Amino acid sequence: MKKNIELNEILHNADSRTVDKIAANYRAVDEKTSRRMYERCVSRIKNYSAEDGFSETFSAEPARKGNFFRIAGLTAVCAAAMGIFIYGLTNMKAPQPKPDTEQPVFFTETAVTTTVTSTDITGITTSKTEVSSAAAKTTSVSRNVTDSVSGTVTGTAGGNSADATSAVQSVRTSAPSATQAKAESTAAQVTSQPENETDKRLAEVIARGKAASGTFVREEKIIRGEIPADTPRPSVLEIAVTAIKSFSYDEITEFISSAFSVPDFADNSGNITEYWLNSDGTDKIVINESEESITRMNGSREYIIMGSPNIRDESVILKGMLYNMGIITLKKGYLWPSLRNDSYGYSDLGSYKFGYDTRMITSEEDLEALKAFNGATCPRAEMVLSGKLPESSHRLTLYEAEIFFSNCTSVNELVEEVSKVQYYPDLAIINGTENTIFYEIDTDGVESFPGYDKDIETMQLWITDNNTHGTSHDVTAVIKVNNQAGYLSDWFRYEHSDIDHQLWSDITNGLIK
Amino acid sequence: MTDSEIAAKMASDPEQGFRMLFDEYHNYVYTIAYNILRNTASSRDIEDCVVDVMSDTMMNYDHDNGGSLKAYIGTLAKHRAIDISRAISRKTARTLSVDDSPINEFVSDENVASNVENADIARIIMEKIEEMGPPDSEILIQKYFFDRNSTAIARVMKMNPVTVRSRCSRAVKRLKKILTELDITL
Repeated sequence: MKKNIELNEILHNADSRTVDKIAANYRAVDEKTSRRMYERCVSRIKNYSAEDGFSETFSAEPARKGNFFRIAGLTAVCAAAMGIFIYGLTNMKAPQPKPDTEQPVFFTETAVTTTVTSTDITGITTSKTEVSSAAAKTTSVSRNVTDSVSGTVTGTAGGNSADATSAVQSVRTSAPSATQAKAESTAAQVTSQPENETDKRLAEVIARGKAASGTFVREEKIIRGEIPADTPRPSVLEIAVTAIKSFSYDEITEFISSAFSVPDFADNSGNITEYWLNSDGTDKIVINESEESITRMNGSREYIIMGSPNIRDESVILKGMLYNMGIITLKKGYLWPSLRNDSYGYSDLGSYKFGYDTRMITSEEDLEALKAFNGATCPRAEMVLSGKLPESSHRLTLYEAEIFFSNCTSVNELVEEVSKVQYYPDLAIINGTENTIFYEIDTDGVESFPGYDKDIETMQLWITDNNTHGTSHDVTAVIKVNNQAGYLSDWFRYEHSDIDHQLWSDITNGLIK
Repeated sequence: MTDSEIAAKMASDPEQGFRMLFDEYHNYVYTIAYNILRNTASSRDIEDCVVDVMSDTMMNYDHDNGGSLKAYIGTLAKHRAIDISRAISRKTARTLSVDDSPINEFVSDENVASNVENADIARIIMEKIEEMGPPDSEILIQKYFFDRNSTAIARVMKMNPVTVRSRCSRAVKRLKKILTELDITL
């Protein structure tokens, strides 16, 4: 069966059994996509339920039907005309109703959030004004809105009350749909929510809160109509950036509380407050006031944004932030148990200070975060982001590094050779006492090197200047080998060498950009 | 989580039931849809397909007489993906040049013998990939079935892209070696 094949081509043409196997055993989407699809499904199901189960529909006939429907329609019109004629005869002095030629308006069940009684005239009047201005862009909708609100008041008298404010929201959200529907249908649907339905929902949320020893504040407020259902939720990135900038519990909590405007959950003790990053609370920020800790809980994973019962340290905060932002590469299993253990000294953490991967940088924000973390600049990433260097440009390989180490007689020479194959280092840290640049190494072929370990994940060429105060330099070059947990060993160490001052400054300061 | 547990939950507590259904099957549906729509549709279309299938299952699956949930959802996914693919093809067909030879429409571009052989090879490769174990097996599937780059794979697998890249390169080498012994050259 000797055959030259392309792996992707062969897998793409696999039979259904193989595809089923892949489908059943492997992840197909990332968490974000998965969450997005879930939310879309839920909203689709809710819409379906609203249309199917909770709507009261007044007249719903599509404009285009077959001959049968035309005849039936004609008959119905005749009957209606006859009815109107008889009605006219019997109510000669009554005011004539205006003919109803309005286009459809859909009031969805989900948009109706609060109950207002028919005595709340001010509320209704205000709502009408708002509706008119909101719908001014779509003239076909504006009159319907007024009619709809009127209809709502009438409904209240009949036992079914619906909120005028909610109606406004409904019209706002449904205006485009209504406009679209104009072209497709002549139906008009008006949905109202029974008062007891709102009460029922509220009671259910309160009961759920009681069971959790707290209150689902946001949900309750939405049901009561105190805040709109789409009250914004900031992203974790915004929180991370704030945390990196401030380092203060008070500042971060203040930012979080103002950015969210209302917590999703508050426990009865007043200590725990939750701000959800998604609608179902599977990803959330938890603030513990008594411990002054801020934690992000994403499913079963926890990231300390600030503080913990045991540890208060800037590096911990920043590590948590950078980890959240996908910049730190240390694995959860390794990082968090060590942070939670008092006996694990901060110096150990310090040794992993630069244990992140600069190739993960995808935006200016990531660069800023790295700078905030330890003053590091990322020349290569900066050049790539600014479009001056292609992302695929050559990267120092392990083979090249080996040749340079064996052929060069000084670090100065080594740096010159390295800069010929990859000019911009991945990282430059200039902090006055110890300047470092490093290059992420392409590890292709690492298996053939002596000292190979199957756990090797990444390799970096570090060039460190330990003496920055004088004119002479004491430079070390070494390839650091890392496994999943972090540092594993050193390869090709070259110590105590001098380096050309100008070359070094050019590279570290990025002057040749 | 068994199908019957999910079905029972869908009936008793629809919200929770749907969560369970989604968690259990959205990857499954996505993969099936992706396999059919890969060449014709955008990733947004594939997502749409998943959303349609998952929500349709929730709304229409008959808990008592619906048969196996997995089979139901798999069939629904295939049919829906084929529908989408046809709809897209129809749109594309309208923009075809009049110079295109209509006779080609009647010529099958499938080589049955070759397809059978490819399916056999795919099965063997799949077995060998699975034998490599996670995370290498998953990285290879992500790269060569889902056509993802290392950053995207890292996102899905919650790994570091560099790790993904180096593991992938090593895994391919290992796979090549294994397959060479079976007379298959990558």
